[in-house]
Amino acid sequence: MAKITYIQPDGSERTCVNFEGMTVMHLAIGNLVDGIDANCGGMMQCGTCHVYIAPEWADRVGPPSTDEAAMLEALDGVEIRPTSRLSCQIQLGEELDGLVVEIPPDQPGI
Amino acid sequence: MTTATLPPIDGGAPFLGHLLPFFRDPVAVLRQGYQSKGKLFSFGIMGRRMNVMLGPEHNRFFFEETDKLLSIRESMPFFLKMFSPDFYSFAEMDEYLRQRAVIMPRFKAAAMKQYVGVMVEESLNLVNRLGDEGEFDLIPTLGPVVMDIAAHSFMGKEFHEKLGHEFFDLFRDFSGGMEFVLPLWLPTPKMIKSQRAKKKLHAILQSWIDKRRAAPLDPPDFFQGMIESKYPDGRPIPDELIRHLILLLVWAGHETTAGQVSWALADILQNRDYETVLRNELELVLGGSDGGNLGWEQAIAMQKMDLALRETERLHPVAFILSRKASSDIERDGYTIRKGDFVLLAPSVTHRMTETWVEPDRYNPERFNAERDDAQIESNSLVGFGGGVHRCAGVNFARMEMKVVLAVLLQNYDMELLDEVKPIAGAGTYWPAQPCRVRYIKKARSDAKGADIAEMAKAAGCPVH
Repeated sequence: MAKITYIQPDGSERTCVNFEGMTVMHLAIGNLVDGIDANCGGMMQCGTCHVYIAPEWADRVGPPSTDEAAMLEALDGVEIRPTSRLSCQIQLGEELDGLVVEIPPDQPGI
Repeated sequence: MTTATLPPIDGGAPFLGHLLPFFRDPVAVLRQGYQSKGKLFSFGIMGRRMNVMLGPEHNRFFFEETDKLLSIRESMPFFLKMFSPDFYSFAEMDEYLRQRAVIMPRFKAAAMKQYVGVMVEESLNLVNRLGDEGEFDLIPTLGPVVMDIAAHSFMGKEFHEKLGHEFFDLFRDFSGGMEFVLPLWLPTPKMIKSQRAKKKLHAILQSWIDKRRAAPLDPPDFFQGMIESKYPDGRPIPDELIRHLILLLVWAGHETTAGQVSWALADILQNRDYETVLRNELELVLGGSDGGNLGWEQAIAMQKMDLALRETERLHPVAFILSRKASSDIERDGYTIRKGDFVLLAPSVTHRMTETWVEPDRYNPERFNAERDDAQIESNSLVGFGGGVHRCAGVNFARMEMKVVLAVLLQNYDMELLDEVKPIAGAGTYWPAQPCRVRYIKKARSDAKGADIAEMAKAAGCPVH
């Protein structure tokens, strides 16, 4: 089991449980968590599932791949931080139980 | 680098390998592999090596490596024949992404709200057809309802007047083109039937597109939206693509969901204790109604039904294997999978491994109840809808639809199974074998009103509402 907490820009929180083959993005979509759009369905092509990993989790989640980093860099009108990740690229496993991610105020428009 | 292949299953004929046993009973071959060789094993089919991976860790590897070490496009050649080389995951990557961008937003969980009404309407149509009492066979009865829901949702309300259940039969023939085992050039009767049905379906769909172009529906439904939709760069979507997309949605939604919802009802009727739990939940949420008051909020509130559907997905995953092709040599736990080999996940076996599940053969939906200390909810353990980036795009639609069909049947009838339930033989989608008849009789309904779900949810601070 992995419990993932999503924090909205207004500070409200939602914790969801994963036991299926989901990514951080799929878990949010399946549980109607606001602010993660995932327009391209998880193909690293739209950037609309962008999240900030809570600093204390950043090491364990790890950095984006080269392709993902290139996508993040290309996003317009969105604040990119060192902890930025595309949530569709984070496959969930038990080691991420307790993970906290912050949802940015806006997702890029496409 | 090691050169050892994944441990091969014993037996198998020269060249044909395990073709015949796999053709007869694929899940038995996979189970034999697990029992004799463990979580990693292989077998041959006509010179092609099939590498099977079982359990949550390997599931995760498979999901993470799809589109990297593992290719999904080359693993399903039948798809090419049923659709087109320029379509969806067979298209060039750029084109695939453009097409996916058109489809995905329509399946977001929140977009499901608009379909619940259609699901309820079609389920109540079934109740009308069934009347007060009688017998029905699971697949031939629930299959058409699932098709009605998909066709009504994706092709508009008018499909009823125009086609009725001829569509269901055409789709059954079309689905026959899903061929995992035999070479696709082989002119088997089911392959010929499939190609003939495909042609007919395309002709019918094109005539509907032409009609909608001449007289657009306002406000637009899904079909109208599809006809008018454009690629992200502003070009209109060609008609051929619209036809393929609609066929894909109706086909993918029907083939799998018809089987899954049939299994779900069979499981419930074989487990009367849990049937009572579900009926109590329904009484609370819907009161004594025939299901006509079932909306988005009520469906979300049916949490026991959610658990029941997950347990059926675990015990009877209709997509009982998922396949990929290795795009380069892969090392895994000291073994080598060669470039070009097939790599398979087997939910049908993974979902019953004693390493992961307590009493794996027992129907126990509460195992998924995350609020229990003994819940069995390891990540990547339940994979009936796949996982990773290519996880089923229609999962929210399918779960909602199954909930609605089951809720409406349970609200209206007392039911019992007349036949023993067993899986269909052969390497198609894993449906319950026919006949699997249910005897039903209209049940006495209480006068209770359904709970005010919105108020309850607000009181509980549920953020969905």
